[in-house]
Amino acid sequence: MSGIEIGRLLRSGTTGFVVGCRVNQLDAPSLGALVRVPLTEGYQVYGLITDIHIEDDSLVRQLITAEDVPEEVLRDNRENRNVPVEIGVLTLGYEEGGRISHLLPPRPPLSLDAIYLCTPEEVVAFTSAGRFGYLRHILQDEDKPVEELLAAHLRQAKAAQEDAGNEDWFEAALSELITLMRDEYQQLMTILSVAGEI
Amino acid sequence: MPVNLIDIQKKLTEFSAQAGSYETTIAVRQDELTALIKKYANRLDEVRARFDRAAEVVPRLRCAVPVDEPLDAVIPMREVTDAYTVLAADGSQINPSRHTRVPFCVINIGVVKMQVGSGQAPEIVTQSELLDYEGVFAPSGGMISEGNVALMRDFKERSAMMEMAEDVQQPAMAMIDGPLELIREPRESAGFSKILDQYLDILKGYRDRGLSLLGYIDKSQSDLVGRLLELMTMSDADLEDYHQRERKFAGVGDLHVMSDLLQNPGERSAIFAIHSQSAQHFQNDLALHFFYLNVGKVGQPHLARVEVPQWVAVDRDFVGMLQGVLTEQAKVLGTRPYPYLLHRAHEEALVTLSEHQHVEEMIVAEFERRGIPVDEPSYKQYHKDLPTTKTRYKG
Repeated sequence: MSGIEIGRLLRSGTTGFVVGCRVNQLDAPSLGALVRVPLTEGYQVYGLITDIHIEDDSLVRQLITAEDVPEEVLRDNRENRNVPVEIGVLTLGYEEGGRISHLLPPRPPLSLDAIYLCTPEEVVAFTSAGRFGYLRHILQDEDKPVEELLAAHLRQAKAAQEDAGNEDWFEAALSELITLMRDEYQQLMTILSVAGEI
Repeated sequence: MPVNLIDIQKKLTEFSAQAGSYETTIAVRQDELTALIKKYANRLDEVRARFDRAAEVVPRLRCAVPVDEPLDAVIPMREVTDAYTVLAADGSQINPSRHTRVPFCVINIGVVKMQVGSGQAPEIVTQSELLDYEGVFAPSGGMISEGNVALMRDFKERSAMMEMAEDVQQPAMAMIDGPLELIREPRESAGFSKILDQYLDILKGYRDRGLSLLGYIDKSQSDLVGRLLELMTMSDADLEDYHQRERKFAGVGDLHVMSDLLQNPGERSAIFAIHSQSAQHFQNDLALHFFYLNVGKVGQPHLARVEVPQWVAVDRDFVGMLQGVLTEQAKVLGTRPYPYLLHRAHEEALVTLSEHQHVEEMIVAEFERRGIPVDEPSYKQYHKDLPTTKTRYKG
């Protein structure tokens, strides 16, 4: 297996899943990053991090009232206590028998499956497969900050594709977005504006 | 409706008046006690003589005994060193119950060790023990009592913490929640004597390792100092008739008196020895002592009672540091001061209801696999476990 393990699956459905991780694993995942969940041999699910959520509890709320929190106490709460860090992932597609599909997977990952960040090579492989079919999953998720997610994803994918010598990928992705969002002028303008900064 | 709130409402006026009247009585007693502590503050020989006399004639006397500091002493904390070790232990249990499908008992102990100044996360050890099946039953038949289980738990807390205290960086201190005395019933059983002997060995182990052990009591109801001062108001004849349950200053805890004295964070009261029937088991270096400590903030005092064995109590420099460490620990929890590490030990030790049910299911599954008969839960328990949300007939 390649990539960094960022946590394990808490709950899942066909369209997305939630990953639990320890606070000391939290350095690696970032909003908009591409992840994968290997299931059986040759079958894995791909997704995009859409949310990173840190729950509180009664002790943390009480510690907030202290004037000063010693380093040992901070680390105790971050490393020893069961601080629930939850990462929301939007399912973008899957790979089966070496073939990548941007359709929803036939079955979701199971509890405690390990989740890995995709390596640049895996990002290139997933984003090059097909004709950007996975973008529609992101655009359909109206509860999420779509513009920010797309910006983060395009930034990551552009860098990986250019490192792999695919200089045209970014332009092709923008063209596909313009096509997909032709009826959402306002949102499209925002995305193009953000994309201009990448 | 589970409670008839109209009945409660009718009683509220009278109830409040009773509370007001009781508070007035307590305030008068409190003033008397405050005056007494001032009056006898430096007359320690006289106080000790009165105590000696009372101890002769009152068989089950329970009170504080002055050591060498004025009764109203206020001692500031010492500066705390940058690096030291604190350990805390707590325990919880699943008591055996005739209402469950199988009789079983679990004792769960959490110990947390923090190396203050290291910048490292504390070490945590949790010990979960399923008691032997036969151990769940008392020699006389029936199941062992909750008191028996609590006694075993207390003992295991202290021994588990000592195991974790190997090679600690000095200075080091270990704390438990509650008194150091084993004040569990049944005190007279053979089992108690055996555990007490083992417990005294554990205390000696702490002493030999140079590890200070303390018991931290939040919101103490203790009135040992008040009981001592009460003796000063009694004649010899009164002492002959002294009855522990009819007390002149009943209802006035030591906290009432000490909170007037200890106004600044980290300040402690005089150190007192404990005289009681159970405290007599702790002799010489292990003799139990206590003091009150303000772990609150400026303008918001909050007093705890701290119990230490004599070998700690005599080292006043170290007691000064204990004051500082406890105050620092309590400060971590902000507006509700309580030693952080004790709370963490409690968190680690706590057995939740769902864990209780899970353990029971594991045992039942194993029994069924082995063909050992499993009982039903009691019908009382069955009905109590049903969802309690009330429904109304809507027909």
